[in-house]
Amino acid sequence: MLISVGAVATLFIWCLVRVLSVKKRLDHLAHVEPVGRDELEKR
Amino acid sequence: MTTKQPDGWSSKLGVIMAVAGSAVGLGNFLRFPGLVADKETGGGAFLIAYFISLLIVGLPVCWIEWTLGRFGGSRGYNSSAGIFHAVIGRPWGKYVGILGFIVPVGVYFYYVVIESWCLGYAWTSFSGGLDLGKDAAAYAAHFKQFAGLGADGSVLGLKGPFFFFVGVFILNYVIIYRGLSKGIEFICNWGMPLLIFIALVLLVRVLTLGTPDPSRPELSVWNGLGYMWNPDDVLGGLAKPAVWLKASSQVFFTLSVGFGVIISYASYVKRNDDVVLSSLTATSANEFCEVGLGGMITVPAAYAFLGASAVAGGTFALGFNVLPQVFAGMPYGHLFGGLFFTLLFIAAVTSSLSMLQPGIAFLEEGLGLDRKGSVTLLGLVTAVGCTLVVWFSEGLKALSTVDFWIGDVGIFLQGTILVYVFNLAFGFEKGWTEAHHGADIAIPRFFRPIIRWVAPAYLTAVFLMFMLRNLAGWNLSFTAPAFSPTEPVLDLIGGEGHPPSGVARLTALFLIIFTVFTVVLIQRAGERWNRR
Repeated sequence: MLISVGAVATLFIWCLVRVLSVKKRLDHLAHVEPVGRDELEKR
Repeated sequence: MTTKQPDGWSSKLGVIMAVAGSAVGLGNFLRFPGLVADKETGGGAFLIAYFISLLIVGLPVCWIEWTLGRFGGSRGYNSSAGIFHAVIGRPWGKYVGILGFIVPVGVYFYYVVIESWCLGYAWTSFSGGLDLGKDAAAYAAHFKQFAGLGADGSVLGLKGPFFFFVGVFILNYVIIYRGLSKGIEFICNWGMPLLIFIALVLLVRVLTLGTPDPSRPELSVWNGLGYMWNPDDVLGGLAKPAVWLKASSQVFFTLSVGFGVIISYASYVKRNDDVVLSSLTATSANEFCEVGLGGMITVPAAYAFLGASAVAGGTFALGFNVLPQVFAGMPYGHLFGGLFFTLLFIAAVTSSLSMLQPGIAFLEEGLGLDRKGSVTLLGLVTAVGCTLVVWFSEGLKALSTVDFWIGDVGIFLQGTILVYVFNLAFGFEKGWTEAHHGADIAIPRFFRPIIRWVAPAYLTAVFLMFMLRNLAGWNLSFTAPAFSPTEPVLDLIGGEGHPPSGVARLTALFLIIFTVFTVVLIQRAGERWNRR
């Protein structure tokens, strides 16, 4: 019981922490140069 | 080819909550504990088979559904038929996704009825009307009357149950009409934390029950936990095919894989958003609710008050006969009973909403209907199906017929199809790359052979075993095999001492008409998609 309940509770908490803490690097994902706000305003 | 996205999730946590809300349902708090507590096929062997099935089927199929869904969404499709049309790229591809409409809508026919029982029981419990004393027969009689088990059409003559059914039916459509983010996501964002909070309150109550009757010290909550969780003959249990069949079935039902829901929900995820971690989070949330909460509340409480015999009566008996009696026996029982049935209602409503969304998405993109039109048409279709289930309530014959042919056979079939489409039509390597696009975590590499070879083989074996068990009637024993078709099949074809059931046959005819109707709709949708 302790192994089963402990395992699912740990996995759930780990996932939740990862989801809430991940900050995506959009430039890395889309393979484009990072565009700052000032750059956007110029365009 | 792109079309406008009619709706979408407002946040990443929102879609995770919605998928978790879809997965967490009545099965987490009633079916799973009953299966673990089963002395024949439960215990430690069941849990090992359950976790292995979760690892080699549950998680991989979840990742597959999320990946295919997001891919289809990026091509402008949000329904299972549309997504398969985009993935397979052949004229027949859209028909492969037919179960993604039939299964969720078909399951809704009876699920909303059970949902209304939960709300009705919560209301009755809070108002003190469910304290029927210590006589077990009184609780069984109450449920028989409430659900109309005694005679067909009897529910319509009862103001209370019929009122709850109509109210819950309308409530679902009011929420779904508000759309994805304002309707489903809003409800799940509030409902899921509330559900977990109520479950934790009930868990504390159950774990502090001690020995309710000092004159019977063997009936304690700790012995109840031991009865449910202590491993017995693990190796002997694992050698039984029935254990594996039950474990993999439960994994399927509990995760909502093969329902056509996850694939539709994931289609609204943005192209660069993660699906790997989101899928794992929704799965782990469901497992936490099932193993960590559901497995600790119902059976130990029932055992502590009534003993081992009380937990062996099946899902409905445990939920609507045994537990009201258990709550009636504890201080402030009406309050805790009301909370428990509120928990079941929240779990059910987040699931039933998810059953409507794939249908709404298909009617909107396939027939070009707006939200009002799709909600109205789906409302009419489900009203007919629900009326059939509510009217033919004697012995729950219509409900169990739909449950078997749609809720059991359909889900197994759809899950198996998903894995083969991913590996063969979409292509494993393309799928693996697609899954990792925008992923916040990587899928461990040992899942490559699992997704590619093990999951299809395991699913095929389990599906064949399921058909052999239910259609051919094999008792799943190698040492003393016997063949006798199960009740849903005998209800249709009849057998020795088991005449065919008119209600079961009528229900099957309705399901065939519903299937033909869906085929026509998909054909019309295909013409529309080809013109894009």
